[in-house]
Amino acid sequence: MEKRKTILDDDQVLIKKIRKGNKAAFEELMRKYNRKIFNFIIRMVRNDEVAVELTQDFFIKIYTVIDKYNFEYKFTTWAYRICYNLVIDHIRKNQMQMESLDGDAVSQKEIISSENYVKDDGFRILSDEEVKTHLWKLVDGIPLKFKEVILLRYIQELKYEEIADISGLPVGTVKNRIFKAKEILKQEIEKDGMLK
Amino acid sequence: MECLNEERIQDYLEGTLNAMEASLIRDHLLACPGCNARHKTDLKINRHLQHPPLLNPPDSIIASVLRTLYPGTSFYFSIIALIAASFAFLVTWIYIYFDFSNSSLIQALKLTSKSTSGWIANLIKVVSSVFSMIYASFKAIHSFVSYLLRIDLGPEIVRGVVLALSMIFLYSLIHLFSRKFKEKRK
Repeated sequence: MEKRKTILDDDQVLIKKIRKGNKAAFEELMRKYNRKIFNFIIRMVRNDEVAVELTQDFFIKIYTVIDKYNFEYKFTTWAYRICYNLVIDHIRKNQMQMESLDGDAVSQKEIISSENYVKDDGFRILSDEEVKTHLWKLVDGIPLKFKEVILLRYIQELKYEEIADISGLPVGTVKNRIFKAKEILKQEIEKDGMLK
Repeated sequence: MECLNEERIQDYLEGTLNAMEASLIRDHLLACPGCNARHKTDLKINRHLQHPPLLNPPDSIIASVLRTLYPGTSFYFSIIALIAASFAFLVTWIYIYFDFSNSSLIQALKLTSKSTSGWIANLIKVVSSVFSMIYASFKAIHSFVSYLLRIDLGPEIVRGVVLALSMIFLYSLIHLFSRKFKEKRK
């Protein structure tokens, strides 16, 4: 885990206040991470209600274990690990996305049909925004082990080392999974002819 | 330099290579159209991944967590506390205002105590009990108003203003009531 020393960052200042019972500080912390956490969870569990519930559970968990936080480490790594464990536990308990957990193949039913993007004249002219939306829908359909590293890398904006800390995987495996995930995405998106 | 494999292109895009390696790859990409095309495709995918379309979480998440972690006084408890505190406050004020012993309160205290020290002790007790009741009323009204308005009246200034206004309102009611009662007695 990435060690930090001396000066407290903004998050750590908030944590000090939260420990003293400052409600406004906790609210500020929630507002800061709410969006990223919610988006990570919703893409993992793919259910709005469950995502809301898990996001709430995450913040409650953070609050209850805030006294255990060690100021030598970065808050985000600690918090995202809690979030990651919460989501993985939920998925395992509820046996959601079993096909993603077990299989390595892209779940075809989750991928938007490329025909939706073909114009009458046969040419596929798409805006960047459309390509991005399509790509992220493809991310939703890839196997969980690839999806989790992609989400941690690009939604939570974490480094390979931080992802390794959070997921408990070696850095090499994280790097490899991200690479493979991108390969899958590339193959799918090229099959749809969307990057031409 | 040999053509780049996918992993090498990804390393280059992710910035995990050292300056020398990155420089060699940059040169190769300029010279090799095939690798350049693959690099451009990967670059596009990377760019889209780096800017994910984020959903806005519902506002209810934060509100719900705050309610769970910082529960306010319950509605029924607020009402009971308000009624009890107001009743105690009212009784105290009526007792002081109408002077049921047909003389001043101080006089009444003087009569019930044998010595000067006893008189002072009783006075302190009365002042202290009146203060406690006023304080209890303050707290009850505050929690009740907080519950009704569904906001946290945390900041001291807001709390003080709300309580002061509540007290003025209560005092006016008592004053009005006592004046009418006095008129009736006359």
